[in-house]
Order: sequence, then C-alpha cells, then structure tokens
Amino acid sequence: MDKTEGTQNFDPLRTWREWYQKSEKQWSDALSGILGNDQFAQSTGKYVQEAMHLHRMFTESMAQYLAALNLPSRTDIIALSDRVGELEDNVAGLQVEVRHLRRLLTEYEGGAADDAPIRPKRTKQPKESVEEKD
Amino acid sequence: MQQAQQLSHEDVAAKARETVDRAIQRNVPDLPAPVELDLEVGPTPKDIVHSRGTMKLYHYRPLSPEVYRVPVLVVMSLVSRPYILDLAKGQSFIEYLLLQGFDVYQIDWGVPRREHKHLRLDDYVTDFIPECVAVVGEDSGEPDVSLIGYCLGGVLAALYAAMYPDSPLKNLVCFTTPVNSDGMALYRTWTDPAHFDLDRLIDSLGNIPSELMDASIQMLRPFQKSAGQMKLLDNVQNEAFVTAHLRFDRWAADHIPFPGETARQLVNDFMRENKLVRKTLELDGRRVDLGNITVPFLHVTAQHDHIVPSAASQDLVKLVGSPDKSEIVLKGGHVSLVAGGNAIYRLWPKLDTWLSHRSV
Repeated sequence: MDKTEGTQNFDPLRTWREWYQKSEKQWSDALSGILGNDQFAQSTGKYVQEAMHLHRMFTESMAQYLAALNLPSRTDIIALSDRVGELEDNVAGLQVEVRHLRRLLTEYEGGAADDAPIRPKRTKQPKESVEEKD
Repeated sequence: MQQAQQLSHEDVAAKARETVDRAIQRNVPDLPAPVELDLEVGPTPKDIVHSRGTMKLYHYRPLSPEVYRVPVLVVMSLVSRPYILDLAKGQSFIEYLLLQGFDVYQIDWGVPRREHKHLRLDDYVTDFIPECVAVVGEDSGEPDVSLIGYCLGGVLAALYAAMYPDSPLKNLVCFTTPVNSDGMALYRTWTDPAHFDLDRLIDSLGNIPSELMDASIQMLRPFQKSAGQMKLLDNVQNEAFVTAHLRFDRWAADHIPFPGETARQLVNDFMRENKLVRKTLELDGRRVDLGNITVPFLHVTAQHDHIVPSAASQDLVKLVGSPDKSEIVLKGGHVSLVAGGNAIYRLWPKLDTWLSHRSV
C-alpha cells in the first residue's frame, strides 16, 4: 500500500522545480548582467522606437478594418474605460459631498447620523515597553 | 441540439466549470474539492473623505475603542494599486494599524487617464499632498499628522516634508524609498539618453502604459515569476498558500499607467542626473533639500529588495536632517516587506513601537 502511494506521489520534476526555485536568483542575476549592458540597452531602445512606429501603423490600419466590421478597436475600449473612470470619479465627488452635507445636517440637528463613523477618543497611550533601538 | 438551445449562458458556464473541475480532480491525485477562491481585496471598511480627479482620500473606520492622538496618512506609490496594503483580513497593514489604535487615512492616486498625462511631481508634492494633509486635519480635528510613504510614495512624502518644514507633519516613515539613482544600475542603463528616446515615447503615448511598467519591473529579476509559479505548483494542495499566492499575483499583475510628465521628470532629474542626492532638484521653482526634514524619521528597507536595492535607498537616512532618525533593515524583498509574513511578524510590530511613542 505504502509502495503504491509512493509510486503515485512520485514526481520526477519536483527535484528540478526545487533546484530551479533555489537557483532562480543566480539565474536572474546572470541574465540581469546581460540585460544591464550597453549593447542590450541600445538594442532595446531601438526596438522600442521601431515597435512604437509599427504599433502606430498597425493600429491605424486595424482601426479601419474593425470599423468596417462594426467592431470596437482598443482605442474605443480605452475611451470607454476613460468615460467609466470619469463617472467613478464624479460619483466619488458626490459621495464626499453627501457625506459632508450629512455631517452638517447632523450637527445642525444635534444628533448623530445612523451611518456616521464612530469617532473614538484620541487618548490612547503607547505600551509601557521601552522602545527598541535599531 | 434541442437541449443546448434550452440552456442559458449561466447553465453552460456552470457545466463547463464542473467538467473542468472533474477533469482536474481525476488527473491530480489527492486534490481537494476545488476551492472557491475569495479574492476580494481591500476589505477594511473605509469612507471617501476627499476626492479630486482620480485621487481619493480614504478614512478607514476605526477598529479600536481608543486611538492615538495623531492620525496617520499613508501615501501610496504611483506605480501600483494601493490594495497591497490592505490585501485581505489578517494580511493587511491598514487593518494592523487600526487594531493597534491608529487613526488611518490613505491617498489612492487612482488610474491616470490620457487627460492626466501633464501631471508632474510638483503637482503631487505641492498640491495634492498638502491638500490631503489639510483635509485630514479638518476631518480628524487634530493639528498634527504622521506620513507613511511606500516606495515612490515615500519619495513624495519625503519631498513634501522637505518642502514644507512648517507643515502639520509630526512624524515621517518611509518604506523602501529610492533617493540615489547610482544604486539603480539597470534602470539607469536602460534609460540612458544615448539609446533611449524618452521624449518621443512620452510625446506619442502620453502616459507610460501599464504593460511597459510591468515589463520593466519583471526584467529586473527575469526568472522570479516562473520560480513563483513552480512554488505554487508544489503547494497546490495548501489552500491557504494558493489563496495568498493568487491574491499576491493579482496585485503584481494589476499595474497602472504612469503619468507621462512625472515619468519624464523622474527619468531626467532623478534617474539620469541624480538631483535628489546632489540637492539640485527643483519643484515648483524651489530647490528641495532633504536636510530640511526635521521631524522624527524612520526608514525601513529590505535586504533582498531588487526593485529598490539598498544602494539606492540607504542614503535617505543620511540626507534627512532630523535629530531623531533611524533605519531598520529587514530580511525580505520589496513587496514582502509590507505584505508578506515578514511584514506581519517583523515590520509591523517594529513600526507600531516606533510610531506609537511619537503619536501622543
């Protein structure tokens, strides 16, 4: 029974995974050494510029195809997301205003609103323990 | 065919999920029943007390019957979402502070849209932060406030403290805050003006896209993500591990765009010319000298931080002019410092001890 369980749980890749996790930092450091040289930075800079140019060309031509198919492009979706973001910001502004007005109203009526946050006393003192010196 | 037509979209989705679950269970021995991962983040109850554009100032509802006199304002980085500091119940820096008796506020910068590409460091340091500090004072009724800044949020908080020595600031705490770009060799090489046309990038894109931000962080330690996935595979039967890992992963992949003009300023003034250390940085037409910071100051750095290496952050405590200043170097990395087990058992109690004695 034990033997069967042992066979079922045997995972030949586990050792490799453990080794990979332990040596990850060394691998990353080695690759970072390559990524950090001027030659790499130069080719990356060039790649970014070219990629931007290609991306622009591709986006413009793709937008026409998508419009013809009556489908939204990434730009359209980002624009929509921006509109949603604006609405969220406006709702947040209204929340602040409502909170402020409720507070004023409560003060005027001399009571506390049902959902007003509890304001504990600001009298807490630190524990007696001596502060650690680091 | 007829049956398929009668099924709703929800039925089809449920059927597909059931089939996938069954297949996984059949093929992975001893796999427990699929867990419904509750990946809700930012669970600590809070209210918005101020909002302007994408920026929101939150006040967290107290979890203690008595609080310290001085409220705490947490300034988040512009690079990532703030919920890393409030990841889940029991795994939340904010919740910890509340339970220890601090009155906590937090600035969430939100997600910049194209219309926010013009925002500069000056706007954050000389406009948004002073405004939030004033609102905290008004809302809490206290004349003092402590600032806690994480990563780039630490830079913003330190710049504010340096530019407004007469502000209501009582204490300043920075976590892994970069000040010396000599210690960020990889970023400095990649942004070298000889091969990186920053202006062209920002002029055509407006803001730096989140994908580019993510890629540049991944390149700092290229194999870390795959090693993390393997660790997940090894611990797939540990529900707590899987949940924590997925929450963390969700945050790590949830990058936000970076405001274009702030990026231009950071790359030119900070990364290329190292103006903060050379004391030549100017914001809003005024020179910034971290030596003007005189309030009690604590800097916490991580020993194995590959995003802000200690070479980039260790000068901060030397530059600050406070007579009461200290630095704590803890084991761990850039994120585990504030959100992992390392944070819960090492950093948070130390911070509580330091800040509580200065918050009465």
